[in-house]
Amino acid sequence: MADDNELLKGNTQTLALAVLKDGPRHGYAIAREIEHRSANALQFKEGTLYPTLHALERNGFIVGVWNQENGKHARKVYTITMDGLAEFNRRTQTWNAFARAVTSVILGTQQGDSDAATPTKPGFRLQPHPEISR
Amino acid sequence: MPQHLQNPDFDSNRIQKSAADLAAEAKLDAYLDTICANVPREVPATAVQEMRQEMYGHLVAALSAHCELGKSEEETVSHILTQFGRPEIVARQWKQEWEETLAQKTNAPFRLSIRPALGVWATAYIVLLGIGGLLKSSPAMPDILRTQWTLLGVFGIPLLSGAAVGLLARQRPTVSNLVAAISVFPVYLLIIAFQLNAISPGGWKSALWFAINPFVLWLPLSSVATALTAHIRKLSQRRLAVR
Repeated sequence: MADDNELLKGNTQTLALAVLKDGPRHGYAIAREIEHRSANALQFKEGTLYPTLHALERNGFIVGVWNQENGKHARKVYTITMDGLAEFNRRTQTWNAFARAVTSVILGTQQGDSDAATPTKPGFRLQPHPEISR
Repeated sequence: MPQHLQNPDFDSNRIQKSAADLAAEAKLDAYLDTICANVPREVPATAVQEMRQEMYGHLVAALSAHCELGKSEEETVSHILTQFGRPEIVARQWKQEWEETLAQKTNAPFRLSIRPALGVWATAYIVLLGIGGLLKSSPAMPDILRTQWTLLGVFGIPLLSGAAVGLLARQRPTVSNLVAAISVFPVYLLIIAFQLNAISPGGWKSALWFAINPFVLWLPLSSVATALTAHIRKLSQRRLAVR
């Protein structure tokens, strides 16, 4: 997965929103949480997270506040806004529709059928399309 | 984990920093300097300072986490910087982000682009003046050489200028190119006034041709070159960003 930079790059904002939806975090914690939730499958260059957070803040989807704890570095803690939540829901719907469509194409089924044959179900095996295997 | 990195308020004068601490700090500073050096000049210094401080906090947190695992500091610094990304790529993404931020404010993006475009076209007209002067001062120049210099002025300069604007103007490069070329046009008229006899002894018919030349030839020619190089630049940026 580490090589799939193009996919990851297009979805870094969504990943950051997904993490912030569950509570305020600073940049380092966001990076660790993405790594943790994906079981280390999504590894991106962490420096690229900060321009992404800046863009989200610029668009009003998150708000960053500097927080200084005793004896520690000042850190900018981000919180998702109502607009951010709405944006996250919109992105989630788009992603689900896209993922369903791609799965349907890969499996050679129509979208309704692909729900029954989703690869995440136990015992499912990806089979070559009959037309292709002939 | 060095004490001065854990706590920014730590009084570094009270102890002598070890060579390893200084080396780690120097590496982090050099890395962040590379990133911050690319930020557009229009971005306030406080904003650059904040962005640097935020990334520094991330690197220090990563350094702390790795050092707790018992890894050597030198090894850890190299590792976390690799994990953070190549500085030129992070810098490029920040630059794009700042340019978009500036683009949301008034006419900042156009101002950012028009400056290099005006510079390019001013240079182009100076070169043209030089070519005119060369032709005027060398009446014995062979016809073929004279034709080559004229072709360079008529086709080469707009193509090169357009390409340069495409590379330098980050926002609306084609519009910047057109505005800059038209803005410096009075200089071109002056060139005609001074050099007409040398360049085109054919009289006013040639003068008219030289006068309308920028509008019928230079502008579209340079615009195509601008659009083409701007497109290539964007493609190469995208490729670099995902490397």
